[in-house]
Amino acid sequence: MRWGRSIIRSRAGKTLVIDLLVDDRGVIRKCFISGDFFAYPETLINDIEKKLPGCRLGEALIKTRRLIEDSSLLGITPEDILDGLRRAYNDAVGQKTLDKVMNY
Amino acid sequence: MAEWRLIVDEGDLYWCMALDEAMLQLREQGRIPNTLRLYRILPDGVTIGYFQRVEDSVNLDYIREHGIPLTRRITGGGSVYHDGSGEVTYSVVADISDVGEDILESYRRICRGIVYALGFFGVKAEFKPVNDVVVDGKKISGSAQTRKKKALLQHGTFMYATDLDKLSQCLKAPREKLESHGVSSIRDRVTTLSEIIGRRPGLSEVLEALKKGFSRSLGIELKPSRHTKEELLLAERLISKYKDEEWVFRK
Repeated sequence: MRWGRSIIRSRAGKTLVIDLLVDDRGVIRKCFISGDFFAYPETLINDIEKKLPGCRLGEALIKTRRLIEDSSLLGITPEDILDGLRRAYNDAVGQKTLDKVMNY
Repeated sequence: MAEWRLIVDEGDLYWCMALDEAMLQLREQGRIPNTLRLYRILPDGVTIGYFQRVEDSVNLDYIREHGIPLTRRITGGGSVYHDGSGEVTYSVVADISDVGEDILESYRRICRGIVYALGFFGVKAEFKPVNDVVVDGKKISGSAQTRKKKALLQHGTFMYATDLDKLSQCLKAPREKLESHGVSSIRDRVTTLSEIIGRRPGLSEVLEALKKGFSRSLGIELKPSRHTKEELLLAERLISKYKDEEWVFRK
């Protein structure tokens, strides 16, 4: 079980920090998202944090993408969150984050 | 021209945040009219954004050492130092349909009130998306908005003479964030009206400018008013949340 963290600086100058606890089988156990961005409604962030435990990376990205579709972000983009999840996950499992395209 | 309530008041950090939330809830229920509130937070205090982690956004040791109140807002965005003796905080509580459905456009429209207010002092300022007003690239005002189904709350700062050294002691910005602004410290990326015009404007002068600025940007007429009993009672009930460590340290 290991923690991984990503820090994304968005184009709008906001910061997004994602912490993931990933177990030895590659399953996310805990997820924390923080930063100085805006989300409408604000419950989006809590919903993502609650939905991801129990998922591996691929499923986590699909679920997150679906949740974001129903809301608006300001200061960060949906891609920032997805990229942040990939980076935090890879940090936890000790892998270098590859190019975006190769990561799918 | 639409008429809005104008309320000018002051209070401690917890009370001020509780009152903003109470106003939002009551506007959502149609129990109070659209309102512009101008207030001072006394004694000074620090707020952090809804999604922020305390340890990433403020210098907790400094804040505790100096007994500075700290709370979490219901709005997103970053950490703020509220200097009641050098800063006026504003809040706009109104129907979304009266300000603008598009979120970024509504930020722009409300923040234009700050830009106009600075214009009355001969200062050329601009809205910097998503939530800042800057003069020569330096932040002089920051805002944060939250929305319910029908109503919105946007509150923000107007730093006319904020103690910027104390501000930079209280707030912490991640290194990544500073680099994106291309400067080395918080102190270098903020400014005040007094720093720009070389004199300290009086509070009444500042309040007048803000009233005129928001009237113009929102196309409204302001009618001086007071909080209703219901607002004060609801704020009283909400205050315990803002003092609760569970709320402040929830992230």
